[in-house]
Amino acid sequence: MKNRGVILFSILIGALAISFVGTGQTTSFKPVQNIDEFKNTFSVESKKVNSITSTFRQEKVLSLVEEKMVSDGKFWFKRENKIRIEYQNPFQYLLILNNNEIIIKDHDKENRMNVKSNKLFQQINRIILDCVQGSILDNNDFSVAAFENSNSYRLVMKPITKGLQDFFSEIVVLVDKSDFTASELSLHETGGDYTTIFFSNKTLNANIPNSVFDLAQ
Amino acid sequence: MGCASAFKDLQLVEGPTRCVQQFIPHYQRNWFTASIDVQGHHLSGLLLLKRMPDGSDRIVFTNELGVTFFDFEFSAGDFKVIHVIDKLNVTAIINTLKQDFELLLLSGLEKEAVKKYSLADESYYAFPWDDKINYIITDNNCTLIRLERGSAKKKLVVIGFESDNQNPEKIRIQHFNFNMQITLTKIER
Repeated sequence: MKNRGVILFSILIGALAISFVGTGQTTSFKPVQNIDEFKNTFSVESKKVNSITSTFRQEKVLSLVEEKMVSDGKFWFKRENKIRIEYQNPFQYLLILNNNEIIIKDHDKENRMNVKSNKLFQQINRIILDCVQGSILDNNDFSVAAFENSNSYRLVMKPITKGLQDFFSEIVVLVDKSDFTASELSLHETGGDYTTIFFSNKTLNANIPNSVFDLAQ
Repeated sequence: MGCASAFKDLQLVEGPTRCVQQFIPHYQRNWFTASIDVQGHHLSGLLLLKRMPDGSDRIVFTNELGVTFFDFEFSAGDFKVIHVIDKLNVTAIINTLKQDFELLLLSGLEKEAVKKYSLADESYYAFPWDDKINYIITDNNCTLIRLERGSAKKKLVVIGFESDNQNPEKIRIQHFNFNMQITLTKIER
Protein backbone atom coordinates (compact mmCIF):
# COMPACT_ATOMS: atom_id res chain seq x y z
CA MET A 1 0.00 0.00 0.00
CA LYS A 2 2.96 2.27 0.64
CA ASN A 3 4.03 1.97 -2.96
CA ARG A 4 0.51 2.72 -4.17
CA GLY A 5 0.51 5.90 -2.16
CA VAL A 6 3.93 6.83 -3.38
CA ILE A 7 2.88 6.31 -6.99
CA LEU A 8 -0.14 8.55 -6.55
CA PHE A 9 1.91 11.21 -4.86
CA SER A 10 4.49 10.99 -7.59
CA ILE A 11 1.89 11.49 -10.27
CA LEU A 12 0.75 14.60 -8.53
CA ILE A 13 4.26 15.90 -8.16
CA GLY A 14 4.53 15.72 -11.90
CA ALA A 15 1.14 17.32 -12.34
CA LEU A 16 2.11 20.15 -10.04
CA ALA A 17 5.36 20.64 -11.86
CA ILE A 18 3.42 20.89 -15.08
CA SER A 19 1.44 23.69 -13.52
CA PHE A 20 4.44 25.95 -13.46
CA VAL A 21 4.71 26.31 -17.15
CA GLY A 22 1.77 28.69 -17.56
CA THR A 23 -1.21 30.85 -16.48
CA GLY A 24 -4.26 32.61 -17.97
CA GLN A 25 -7.98 33.04 -18.53
CA THR A 26 -10.38 30.24 -19.43
CA THR A 27 -12.64 32.02 -21.91
CA SER A 28 -12.57 32.31 -25.70
CA PHE A 29 -9.69 29.98 -26.32
CA LYS A 30 -8.76 29.06 -29.86
CA PRO A 31 -6.32 26.40 -31.01
CA VAL A 32 -2.73 27.55 -31.20
CA GLN A 33 -2.14 27.97 -34.93
CA ASN A 34 1.61 27.57 -35.11
CA ILE A 35 2.46 24.77 -32.72
CA ASP A 36 6.17 24.70 -33.64
CA GLU A 37 6.56 28.37 -32.87
CA PHE A 38 4.74 27.85 -29.59
CA LYS A 39 7.05 24.98 -28.68
CA ASN A 40 10.11 27.07 -29.36
CA THR A 41 8.83 30.07 -27.44
CA PHE A 42 7.78 27.87 -24.59
CA SER A 43 11.20 26.28 -24.41
CA VAL A 44 13.07 29.59 -24.55
CA GLU A 45 10.88 31.35 -22.00
CA SER A 46 10.84 28.43 -19.56
CA LYS A 47 14.60 28.48 -19.41
CA LYS A 48 14.44 31.99 -17.99
CA VAL A 49 12.69 30.68 -14.87
CA ASN A 50 15.21 29.33 -12.40
CA SER A 51 13.05 29.44 -9.31
CA ILE A 52 9.46 30.06 -8.22
CA THR A 53 7.98 30.75 -4.84
CA SER A 54 4.24 31.12 -4.49
CA THR A 55 1.21 30.50 -2.36
CA PHE A 56 -1.55 28.21 -3.56
CA ARG A 57 -5.18 27.41 -2.89
CA GLN A 58 -6.44 23.94 -3.71
CA GLU A 59 -10.09 23.10 -4.27
CA LYS A 60 -10.94 19.43 -4.34
CA VAL A 61 -14.48 18.85 -5.64
CA LEU A 62 -16.19 15.57 -4.78
CA SER A 63 -18.84 15.86 -7.43
CA LEU A 64 -20.95 12.84 -6.49
CA VAL A 65 -21.40 13.89 -2.87
CA GLU A 66 -21.49 17.61 -3.67
CA GLU A 67 -18.64 18.40 -1.33
CA LYS A 68 -15.58 20.59 -1.57
CA MET A 69 -12.37 20.61 0.45
CA VAL A 70 -10.37 23.81 0.25
CA SER A 71 -6.77 23.87 1.45
CA ASP A 72 -3.87 26.25 1.05
CA GLY A 73 -0.13 26.39 1.45
CA LYS A 74 3.18 27.39 -0.06
CA PHE A 75 5.13 26.18 -3.07
CA TRP A 76 8.81 26.38 -3.99
CA PHE A 77 10.54 25.32 -7.18
CA LYS A 78 14.23 25.50 -7.98
CA ARG A 79 15.86 24.39 -11.21
CA GLU A 80 16.59 21.68 -12.15
CA ASN A 81 14.28 19.55 -10.09
CA LYS A 82 13.71 20.67 -6.55
CA ILE A 83 10.12 21.14 -5.40
CA ARG A 84 8.61 21.75 -1.97
CA ILE A 85 4.83 21.68 -1.52
CA GLU A 86 3.69 22.57 1.96
CA TYR A 87 0.00 22.36 2.88
CA GLN A 88 -0.66 24.55 5.89
CA ASN A 89 -4.44 24.81 6.28
CA PRO A 90 -6.67 23.13 7.31
CA PHE A 91 -4.19 20.27 7.59
CA GLN A 92 -0.40 20.00 7.53
CA TYR A 93 1.30 17.96 4.86
CA LEU A 94 4.72 18.32 3.31
CA LEU A 95 6.04 16.89 0.05
CA ILE A 96 9.58 17.49 -1.19
CA LEU A 97 11.16 16.40 -4.44
CA ASN A 98 14.89 16.86 -4.32
CA ASN A 99 16.61 15.52 -7.43
CA ASN A 100 15.96 11.78 -7.26
CA GLU A 101 14.50 11.70 -3.77
CA ILE A 102 10.87 12.12 -2.71
CA ILE A 103 10.21 13.02 0.92
CA ILE A 104 6.72 13.00 2.39
CA LYS A 105 5.83 14.08 5.91
CA ASP A 106 2.34 13.76 7.35
CA HIS A 107 1.65 14.12 11.04
CA ASP A 108 4.87 12.81 12.55
CA LYS A 109 5.54 10.19 9.88
CA GLU A 110 8.24 10.59 7.29
CA ASN A 111 8.68 8.59 4.09
CA ARG A 112 11.61 8.74 1.69
CA MET A 113 11.58 7.15 -1.75
CA ASN A 114 13.93 7.09 -4.70
CA VAL A 115 12.44 8.35 -7.95
CA LYS A 116 14.39 5.71 -9.84
CA SER A 117 12.81 2.87 -7.90
CA ASN A 118 10.14 2.27 -10.51
CA LYS A 119 9.12 3.12 -14.03
CA LEU A 120 6.26 5.39 -13.06
CA PHE A 121 8.59 7.51 -10.94
CA GLN A 122 10.82 7.89 -13.95
CA GLN A 123 7.84 8.97 -16.06
CA ILE A 124 7.00 11.60 -13.49
CA ASN A 125 10.57 12.79 -13.32
CA ARG A 126 10.52 13.14 -17.09
CA ILE A 127 7.36 15.23 -16.88
CA ILE A 128 8.95 17.53 -14.32
CA LEU A 129 12.05 18.06 -16.40
CA ASP A 130 9.96 18.60 -19.51
CA CYS A 131 8.04 21.28 -17.70
CA VAL A 132 10.99 23.25 -16.46
CA GLN A 133 12.69 22.87 -19.81
CA GLY A 134 9.56 23.82 -21.74
CA SER A 135 9.45 20.56 -23.69
CA ILE A 136 6.26 19.07 -22.24
CA LEU A 137 4.61 19.18 -25.66
CA ASP A 138 7.01 16.45 -26.74
CA ASN A 139 6.25 14.17 -23.78
CA ASN A 140 4.98 10.83 -25.04
CA ASP A 141 2.98 10.13 -21.87
CA PHE A 142 0.34 12.66 -22.93
CA SER A 143 -1.43 13.89 -25.99
CA VAL A 144 -1.36 17.64 -25.58
CA ALA A 145 -3.66 20.15 -27.23
CA ALA A 146 -2.70 23.82 -26.95
CA PHE A 147 -5.16 26.72 -27.03
CA GLU A 148 -4.74 30.43 -26.51
CA ASN A 149 -6.48 33.71 -26.00
CA SER A 150 -4.99 37.16 -25.64
CA ASN A 151 -3.65 36.51 -22.14
CA SER A 152 -3.02 32.81 -21.79
CA TYR A 153 -2.23 29.45 -23.17
CA ARG A 154 -4.40 26.51 -22.19
CA LEU A 155 -2.79 23.09 -22.34
CA VAL A 156 -5.17 20.14 -22.30
CA MET A 157 -3.18 17.01 -21.54
CA LYS A 158 -4.73 13.55 -21.93
CA PRO A 159 -2.70 10.66 -20.51
CA ILE A 160 -1.96 7.94 -23.02
CA THR A 161 -0.02 5.60 -20.74
CA LYS A 162 -1.80 3.11 -18.48
CA GLY A 163 -0.38 4.25 -15.14
CA LEU A 164 -1.52 7.82 -15.62
CA GLN A 165 -4.82 6.83 -17.26
CA ASP A 166 -5.80 4.94 -14.09
CA PHE A 167 -6.14 8.23 -12.28
CA PHE A 168 -6.66 11.10 -14.68
CA SER A 169 -8.91 11.66 -17.67
CA GLU A 170 -7.16 14.94 -18.40
CA ILE A 171 -4.96 17.60 -16.85
CA VAL A 172 -5.51 21.22 -17.81
CA VAL A 173 -2.90 23.89 -17.26
CA LEU A 174 -3.30 27.61 -17.81
CA VAL A 175 -0.12 29.42 -18.84
CA ASP A 176 0.31 33.17 -18.56
CA LYS A 177 1.69 34.66 -21.74
CA SER A 178 3.45 37.41 -19.84
CA ASP A 179 5.91 35.22 -17.98
CA PHE A 180 5.18 31.61 -18.95
CA THR A 181 4.33 30.55 -15.44
CA ALA A 182 1.15 28.84 -14.27
CA SER A 183 -1.69 30.31 -12.31
CA GLU A 184 -4.11 27.39 -12.48
CA LEU A 185 -4.00 23.63 -12.76
CA SER A 186 -6.98 21.26 -12.96
CA LEU A 187 -6.70 17.52 -12.44
CA HIS A 188 -9.74 15.67 -13.77
CA GLU A 189 -10.13 12.15 -12.43
CA THR A 190 -11.67 9.18 -14.16
CA GLY A 191 -14.36 8.96 -11.45
CA GLY A 192 -15.62 12.49 -12.09
CA ASP A 193 -13.99 14.32 -9.18
CA TYR A 194 -11.53 17.08 -9.91
CA THR A 195 -8.99 19.24 -8.17
CA THR A 196 -8.07 22.79 -9.12
CA ILE A 197 -4.99 24.51 -7.76
CA PHE A 198 -4.72 28.28 -7.98
CA PHE A 199 -1.27 29.81 -7.63
CA SER A 200 -0.76 33.37 -6.46
CA ASN A 201 1.85 35.72 -5.00
CA LYS A 202 4.47 34.32 -7.33
CA THR A 203 8.06 35.44 -7.15
CA LEU A 204 10.34 34.36 -9.98
CA ASN A 205 14.08 33.81 -9.84
CA ALA A 206 14.60 34.69 -6.21
CA ASN A 207 17.51 32.94 -4.51
CA ILE A 208 16.09 29.92 -2.69
CA PRO A 209 18.55 28.16 -0.39
CA ASN A 210 18.92 24.44 -0.96
CA SER A 211 18.01 23.90 2.68
CA VAL A 212 14.37 24.65 1.76
CA PHE A 213 14.37 21.26 0.08
CA ASP A 214 15.57 19.45 3.17
CA LEU A 215 13.12 18.08 5.67
CA ALA A 216 14.86 19.86 8.53
CA GLN A 217 13.81 23.26 7.14
CA MET B 1 -8.21 -9.64 27.90
CA GLY B 2 -6.39 -12.11 25.66
CA CYS B 3 -7.21 -12.22 21.98
CA ALA B 4 -7.69 -16.00 21.85
CA SER B 5 -10.56 -16.00 24.33
CA ALA B 6 -11.69 -12.43 24.32
CA PHE B 7 -15.37 -13.08 24.91
CA LYS B 8 -15.47 -16.38 26.81
CA ASP B 9 -16.04 -14.78 30.20
CA LEU B 10 -18.95 -12.63 29.14
CA GLN B 11 -21.99 -13.13 31.36
CA LEU B 12 -25.42 -12.78 29.81
CA VAL B 13 -27.47 -10.12 31.58
CA GLU B 14 -31.23 -9.72 31.40
CA GLY B 15 -32.54 -6.21 30.94
CA PRO B 16 -33.17 -3.38 28.48
CA THR B 17 -30.71 -2.68 25.71
CA ARG B 18 -32.30 0.40 24.19
CA CYS B 19 -29.73 2.81 25.60
CA VAL B 20 -27.19 1.89 22.93
CA GLN B 21 -29.41 3.23 20.16
CA GLN B 22 -28.09 6.68 21.11
CA PHE B 23 -24.69 5.67 19.73
CA ILE B 24 -25.87 5.31 16.15
CA PRO B 25 -23.85 8.14 14.60
CA HIS B 26 -25.43 10.92 12.60
CA TYR B 27 -22.45 12.34 10.79
CA GLN B 28 -23.61 15.29 8.73
CA ARG B 29 -20.33 16.37 7.16
CA ASN B 30 -17.18 15.36 9.02
CA TRP B 31 -13.69 15.67 7.52
CA PHE B 32 -10.73 13.87 9.04
CA THR B 33 -7.09 13.47 8.27
CA ALA B 34 -6.47 9.74 7.89
CA SER B 35 -3.33 7.86 8.80
CA ILE B 36 -3.25 4.22 7.76
CA ASP B 37 -0.53 1.78 8.80
CA VAL B 38 -0.68 -1.66 7.24
CA GLN B 39 1.91 -4.36 7.80
CA GLY B 40 4.68 -1.80 8.24
CA HIS B 41 3.55 0.43 5.38
CA HIS B 42 2.14 3.90 5.81
CA LEU B 43 -0.43 5.87 3.85
CA SER B 44 -2.15 9.15 4.64
CA GLY B 45 -5.06 11.12 3.23
CA LEU B 46 -8.36 12.80 4.00
CA LEU B 47 -11.60 11.02 4.90
CA LEU B 48 -15.10 12.44 4.55
CA LEU B 49 -18.11 11.04 6.40
CA LYS B 50 -21.28 12.55 4.98
CA ARG B 51 -24.99 11.95 5.45
CA MET B 52 -26.75 12.35 2.11
CA PRO B 53 -30.25 13.78 1.60
CA ASP B 54 -31.62 10.27 0.93
CA GLY B 55 -30.40 9.10 4.36
CA SER B 56 -27.45 7.10 3.10
CA ASP B 57 -23.93 7.59 4.47
CA ARG B 58 -20.98 8.17 2.17
CA ILE B 59 -17.36 7.58 3.13
CA VAL B 60 -14.85 9.09 0.71
CA PHE B 61 -11.08 8.83 0.97
CA THR B 62 -8.70 11.07 -0.97
CA ASN B 63 -5.04 11.80 -0.70
CA GLU B 64 -3.91 15.27 0.36
CA LEU B 65 -3.12 16.26 -3.19
CA GLY B 66 -6.63 15.56 -4.36
CA VAL B 67 -6.94 12.09 -5.88
CA THR B 68 -10.04 10.17 -4.77
CA PHE B 69 -9.09 6.65 -3.70
CA PHE B 70 -12.54 5.30 -2.88
CA ASP B 71 -16.16 6.36 -2.38
CA PHE B 72 -18.41 3.94 -0.48
CA GLU B 73 -22.14 4.15 0.18
CA PHE B 74 -23.83 2.65 3.26
CA SER B 75 -27.62 2.61 3.24
CA ALA B 76 -30.00 0.67 5.50
CA GLY B 77 -27.59 -2.23 5.82
CA ASP B 78 -26.65 -2.21 2.15
CA PHE B 79 -23.20 -1.43 0.84
CA LYS B 80 -22.20 -0.14 -2.56
CA VAL B 81 -18.86 0.78 -4.06
CA ILE B 82 -19.43 4.05 -5.89
CA HIS B 83 -15.81 4.42 -6.95
CA VAL B 84 -12.49 2.77 -6.21
CA ILE B 85 -9.16 3.13 -7.98
CA ASP B 86 -7.92 0.02 -9.75
CA LYS B 87 -5.05 -0.57 -7.34
CA LEU B 88 -7.42 -0.76 -4.36
CA ASN B 89 -10.11 -2.73 -6.17
CA VAL B 90 -9.27 -5.92 -4.32
CA THR B 91 -12.01 -7.91 -2.56
CA ALA B 92 -10.02 -8.38 0.66
CA ILE B 93 -9.23 -4.67 0.94
CA ILE B 94 -12.79 -3.56 0.18
CA ASN B 95 -14.33 -6.09 2.60
CA THR B 96 -11.98 -5.04 5.39
CA LEU B 97 -12.83 -1.37 4.94
CA LYS B 98 -16.54 -2.16 4.57
CA GLN B 99 -16.62 -4.06 7.86
CA ASP B 100 -14.61 -1.39 9.66
CA PHE B 101 -16.94 1.37 8.55
CA GLU B 102 -20.06 -0.69 9.26
CA LEU B 103 -18.84 -1.08 12.83
CA LEU B 104 -18.13 2.66 13.01
CA LEU B 105 -21.61 3.44 11.65
CA LEU B 106 -23.16 0.66 13.77
CA SER B 107 -24.93 -0.69 10.71
CA GLY B 108 -27.67 -3.13 11.65
CA LEU B 109 -28.06 -1.96 15.23
CA GLU B 110 -31.56 -0.62 14.61
CA LYS B 111 -32.95 -3.89 13.32
CA GLU B 112 -30.87 -6.66 14.87
CA ALA B 113 -31.63 -8.21 18.25
CA VAL B 114 -29.23 -6.92 20.88
CA LYS B 115 -28.01 -9.03 23.78
CA LYS B 116 -26.40 -7.58 26.88
CA TYR B 117 -23.45 -9.14 28.66
CA SER B 118 -21.23 -8.00 31.50
CA LEU B 119 -17.54 -8.42 32.15
CA ALA B 120 -15.88 -6.79 35.13
CA ASP B 121 -17.25 -3.25 35.22
CA GLU B 122 -18.11 -3.10 31.52
CA SER B 123 -21.32 -3.88 29.65
CA TYR B 124 -21.16 -5.57 26.25
CA TYR B 125 -24.11 -4.99 23.93
CA ALA B 126 -23.82 -7.55 21.16
CA PHE B 127 -25.59 -7.84 17.82
CA PRO B 128 -24.84 -10.08 14.84
CA TRP B 129 -23.55 -8.48 11.67
CA ASP B 130 -22.07 -9.93 8.49
CA ASP B 131 -21.21 -13.38 9.94
CA LYS B 132 -19.55 -11.88 13.00
CA ILE B 133 -20.65 -10.09 16.16
CA ASN B 134 -20.34 -6.36 16.75
CA TYR B 135 -20.09 -5.14 20.34
CA ILE B 136 -20.82 -1.79 21.91
CA ILE B 137 -18.91 -1.60 25.16
CA THR B 138 -20.08 0.85 27.81
CA ASP B 139 -19.70 1.49 31.50
CA ASN B 140 -22.56 0.70 33.83
CA ASN B 141 -24.15 4.08 33.09
CA CYS B 142 -24.28 3.31 29.37
CA THR B 143 -21.48 5.72 28.51
CA LEU B 144 -19.65 4.54 25.42
CA ILE B 145 -16.13 3.17 25.97
CA ARG B 146 -15.36 1.53 22.61
CA LEU B 147 -16.69 -0.63 19.78
CA GLU B 148 -15.45 -4.11 18.96
CA ARG B 149 -15.95 -6.69 16.25
CA GLY B 150 -15.30 -10.32 16.97
CA SER B 151 -15.81 -13.91 16.00
CA ALA B 152 -17.19 -16.31 18.59
CA LYS B 153 -13.95 -16.14 20.54
CA LYS B 154 -11.51 -13.78 18.88
CA LYS B 155 -11.41 -10.03 19.01
CA LEU B 156 -10.87 -8.79 15.45
CA VAL B 157 -11.26 -5.01 15.51
CA VAL B 158 -11.48 -2.31 18.18
CA ILE B 159 -12.65 1.25 17.53
CA GLY B 160 -11.90 3.90 20.14
CA PHE B 161 -12.91 7.55 20.24
CA GLU B 162 -11.62 10.77 21.70
CA SER B 163 -14.54 12.83 23.02
CA ASP B 164 -17.68 10.99 21.85
CA ASN B 165 -18.62 8.99 18.78
CA GLN B 166 -21.14 11.53 17.44
CA ASN B 167 -18.60 14.30 16.93
CA PRO B 168 -15.25 12.66 17.61
CA GLU B 169 -11.95 14.52 17.74
CA LYS B 170 -10.14 11.30 16.95
CA ILE B 171 -11.10 7.78 15.90
CA ARG B 172 -8.73 4.81 16.15
CA ILE B 173 -9.47 1.58 14.33
CA GLN B 174 -7.17 -1.24 15.40
CA HIS B 175 -7.12 -4.66 13.79
CA PHE B 176 -6.03 -7.71 15.79
CA ASN B 177 -6.01 -10.48 13.18
CA PHE B 178 -3.41 -8.62 11.12
CA ASN B 179 -1.27 -5.53 11.62
CA MET B 180 -3.43 -2.59 10.56
CA GLN B 181 -4.36 0.64 12.28
CA ILE B 182 -6.38 3.58 10.98
CA THR B 183 -6.29 6.88 12.85
CA LEU B 184 -8.76 9.61 11.92
CA THR B 185 -8.26 13.12 13.31
CA LYS B 186 -10.97 15.75 12.93
CA ILE B 187 -10.15 18.65 10.62
CA GLU B 188 -11.21 22.00 12.04
CA ARG B 189 -12.40 24.28 9.26
